[in-house]
Amino acid sequence: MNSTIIIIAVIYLLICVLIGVWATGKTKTTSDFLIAGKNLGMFVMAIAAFSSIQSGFGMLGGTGLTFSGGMGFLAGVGIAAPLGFALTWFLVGKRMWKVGELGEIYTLGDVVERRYNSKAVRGWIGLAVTLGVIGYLGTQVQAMGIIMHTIFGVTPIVGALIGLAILGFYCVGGGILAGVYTDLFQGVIMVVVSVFIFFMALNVGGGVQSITENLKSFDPLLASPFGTFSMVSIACWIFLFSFGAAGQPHFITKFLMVRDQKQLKWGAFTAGFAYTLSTLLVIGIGLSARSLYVKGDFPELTSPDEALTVFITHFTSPVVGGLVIAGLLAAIMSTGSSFVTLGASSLTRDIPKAFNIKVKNELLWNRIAVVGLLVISTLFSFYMDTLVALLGVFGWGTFASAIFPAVVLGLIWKKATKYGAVSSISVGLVLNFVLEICAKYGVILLPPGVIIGAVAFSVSIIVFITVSLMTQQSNVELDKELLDAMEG
Amino acid sequence: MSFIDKLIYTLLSLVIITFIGTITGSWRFILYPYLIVIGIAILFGILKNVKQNPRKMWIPVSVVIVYIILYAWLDIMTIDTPTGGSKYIFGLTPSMALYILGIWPLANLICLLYAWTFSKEETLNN
Repeated sequence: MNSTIIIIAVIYLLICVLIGVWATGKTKTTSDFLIAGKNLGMFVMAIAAFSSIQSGFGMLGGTGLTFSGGMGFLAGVGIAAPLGFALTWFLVGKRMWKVGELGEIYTLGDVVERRYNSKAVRGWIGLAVTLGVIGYLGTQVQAMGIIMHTIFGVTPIVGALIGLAILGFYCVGGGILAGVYTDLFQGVIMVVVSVFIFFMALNVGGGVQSITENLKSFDPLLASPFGTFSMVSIACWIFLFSFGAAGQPHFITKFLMVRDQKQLKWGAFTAGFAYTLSTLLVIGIGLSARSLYVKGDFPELTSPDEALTVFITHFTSPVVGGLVIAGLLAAIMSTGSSFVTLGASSLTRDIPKAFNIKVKNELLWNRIAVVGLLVISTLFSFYMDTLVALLGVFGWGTFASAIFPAVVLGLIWKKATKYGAVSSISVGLVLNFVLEICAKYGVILLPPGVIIGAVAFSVSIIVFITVSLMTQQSNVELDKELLDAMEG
Repeated sequence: MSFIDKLIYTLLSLVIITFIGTITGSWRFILYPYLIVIGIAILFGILKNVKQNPRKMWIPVSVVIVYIILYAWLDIMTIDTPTGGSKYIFGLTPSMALYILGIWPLANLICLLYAWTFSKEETLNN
C-alpha cells in the first residue's frame, strides 16, 4: 500500500500507544481500571459510548451492504442507533448513574446483585457477558488481521498480532481509562473522516441527483430507502438496534463512569449525532460507488466488503485514504478495547462473586484476564474457526435479550424478581444460540428476513415480565436509596 | 395498579404483538407497535417529571404520533412504487427524501429532547 497511507496508520497506532502510557500511569485502583475512577465528563463518555457501538462491521460491512443492496441496512441500523442512544439515556441514564453511587458498583453484575439481592443473577449476567465478549473479540481479531494485511502487506495472523499487541498494551496497563480516551481519539477520527469523505464521495459520484438517477435507472429499489432488503428485516433491525441498545453492556456500563449527574444532559445528543455523522461515510461511499459501478466506472469486486477500500484507493488521495484506514482501525479497536475490559471484569469480579469467591488484588487479576482474553480470542479466531463462528452468534441480539430485561426493566419496575431475571437471561442466551445454529446448518424455523435477535429479544421481555408476575412471593424489599435510584 | 405497572403491561402487550409479527413475517406488526414502545421508553425516562406535571405527557405522545404519521406516510407512498413517485426532492426520490429528511433527523431530535427534559427537571428541582 501507498507509503503515505502506511505513515498515517503508524501515526494513528503510535497515538493509541501514547494514550495507553498516559492512562497506565493514572490507573492505580480497580475503580480506575473498570470505571475510569468515576470521573468522566460528558463529551468523553458520550464519544466513548458512540465509538464502542460503531464497530468495524458497521463501517466496512455497512458500506458493502449499501453498495450491494442500497439503503436498507441504514434504514434499519443507521436510523435505529441514534434513536437507541436517546432511548438508552431516557431508560437507564440517571438510574444507572444513581445505582453507581450506592457503593462499589463497577459492573453490571454489581448492579443486578444490588437490585435483586441475588448472586445467581450476577453469575448469569457474568456468563452472558463473557460468552458475548469472546465471540465479539474473535471477530474483531479477524477484522484487525484483514485491515493490517491491507495496510502493511503482512499475513492476517501477523497483522492481527500487531494490532492486538497495541490493543493489549493500552488495555492491560490503562484498563477502561485507556479504553475511553483512545475511544475519544478514535471517535473524533471516525466523525471527521466520515463527514469529509461523504462530500468527496458525492462529488466523485456526480452529485446527489446524478447518483439517484443512475441507481434508479438500474433498479428503482436502489433509489428507495429500503433498497433490496426485506421490510421485515428493516423493521426487526429498528426494534433490535434502538430498544436493544440499552442492553449493550459495553455501552450502559459507561453510565457508571460519569462524574456527576449533570454530565448526562448533552450525552445522548453528542453520541447520537456523532453516530449519525459517522454513517455519512457508509451512505456516501456505498451509494456513490454503486452509481459509478452502474455507469461502468468502478472496478469489479470479489466481495461487496471491498467497496470501501477499493473506493479510497481509486478515487481519493493517499492522505484521505490513510485517514479512512485509520478510521476503520479506530472502529475495530475502540469496540475491542471496550469488550476486553468488560470481559475481564466478568471473569475476575462477577463470576467469582457469584460463587462467593473473593479475588484478592483485583487490579492485577483484571490485567491478567485482559491478556488471557486477548490470547484466547486470537487462538480461537485463527485455529478454531468453527468455535469462533459459534461464539460469533453471541452478538448484539444476545446482549439485548439477555441483559435488557434483567437490567433495564429491573431498574424501572419494582415487581421484577430474580426468577424473572434468571429466566430471561437464560432464555435469551439459549434462544439466540439455538436459532442461529439451526439457521447456520440450514434448519430454517423463522419466516424469511426475520432477524433472530429480534425474536429472542421479544421473547426474553415476555418471559421476564410473565415469570416476575408468577413469582411475586419471592420479591425482595427494596431499600430507600435503591428506590430513589430507580425513580430516575 | 400503579402507573408503572400499567406501562409495563402495555409494553408486554405491544411486545407480544411484535413477537407475533416476527413469527408470521409481518413487518407492520413489528414496526407499528414498536413506535408506541418508543413513547413508553421516553415516558419511563421522564416519569418523575410527568408525576409532578401530568401535562408533560405531550412529550412521548407527540413523538409517537409524529413517528406513526411519518412511517404511515412512507408506507402509503411506497405502495405502488418503492421510490414514491418520479419527482426529485433535493436530488432524492420522494420516499428517500422522507426517510433522510424526516425520519432520520427525528432520532436526533429525540436526543435533543432528552437535554430539554433534563433542563426542565433541573429547574423543577431548584
